[in-house]
Amino acid sequence: MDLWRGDAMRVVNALLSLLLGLALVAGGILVAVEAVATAVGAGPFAIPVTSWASLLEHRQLHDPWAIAGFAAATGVGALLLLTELRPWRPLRLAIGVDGPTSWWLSRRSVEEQVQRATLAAAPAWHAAASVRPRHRRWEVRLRAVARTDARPAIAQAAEAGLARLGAPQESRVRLRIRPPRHRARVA
Amino acid sequence: MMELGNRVLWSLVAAALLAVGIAGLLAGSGVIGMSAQHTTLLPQAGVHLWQQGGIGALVGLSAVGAVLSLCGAMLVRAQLRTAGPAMADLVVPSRSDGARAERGRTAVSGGTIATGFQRDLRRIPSVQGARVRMSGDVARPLVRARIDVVAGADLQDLREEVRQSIARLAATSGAAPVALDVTLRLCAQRD
Repeated sequence: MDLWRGDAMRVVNALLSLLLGLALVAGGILVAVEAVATAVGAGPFAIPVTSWASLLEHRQLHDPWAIAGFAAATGVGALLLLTELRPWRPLRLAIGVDGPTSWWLSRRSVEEQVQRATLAAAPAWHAAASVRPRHRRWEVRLRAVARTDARPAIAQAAEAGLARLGAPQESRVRLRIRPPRHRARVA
Repeated sequence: MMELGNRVLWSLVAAALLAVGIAGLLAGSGVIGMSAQHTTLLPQAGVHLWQQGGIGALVGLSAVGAVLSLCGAMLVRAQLRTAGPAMADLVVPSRSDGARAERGRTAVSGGTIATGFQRDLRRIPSVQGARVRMSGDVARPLVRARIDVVAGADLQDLREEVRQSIARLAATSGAAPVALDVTLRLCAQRD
């Protein structure tokens, strides 16, 4: 679910805003044109105001489809609010400031480098890293599918990879190793 | 900035949806009184009032429509706009009383300076690509750069080379950037 902690939500938000903007433009123009048409006596032509108004005027709050609508709004609202308010992972990590220059490293790059270092250090089937900046350090969660006796080699490689990228010295790697389900045949 | 704006906007929309949904469910299921259950979704007088409002109401409605579509256009524009205004042109003033070569006016567009810096960055051996955006005043430029670097490169060496490139930029444009924001991305090595 890490994808929804920022990476995907940035795109989703931009798309939603774009759609909302377009809908507002179209809807606003339509409403204005309808109002003018009604004023000059041409009558509403695209929005059948009277029919939907009379529909809503006769539906009560306990109607099944009103309940379904409110339930849907509750669900969508809760889900959206949760993904918006959960802390998002930043796109980039600070690696230092000198003079007027601030240096950053893309978070995705750091994760890829840690994964690559892991896979190069020990026979591992899979490695997934996620980096989160904490107060003056990075917290790296590394999950790998490898033999458990490869742990020291993997931890060392991940830390060396971080140091090479200029990570803060206090950065920590939290390593979780899962052995492969079936015994691999290693020649 | 747009990222924060969108996040705030959609948090508010989500909160509104949640509030309306919960209120509707509570009222519709009879939790807050049986009479609330029979409330209609639209007050019976509402639409007819508007219909009887005459020309004033219609003018007001069309104004609301215009404002809504303006808001929509601003929202769309904010999504499509990438950054603030680009840097103004660099103009070297003429000296009419100076030597022949100093007479006349020299102007270099802000975009050209940014492109030049970008090209200079791309000349660094470990750099695969670079994008530069300059803004602010010519005398106090602000620089944002995104540099794609070969994954195996030594980042300390790279930073030194970028610093030299910045010094060349300052020498060319006559003013050192007051703030630089450099983001490095590591790319897989090409075979």
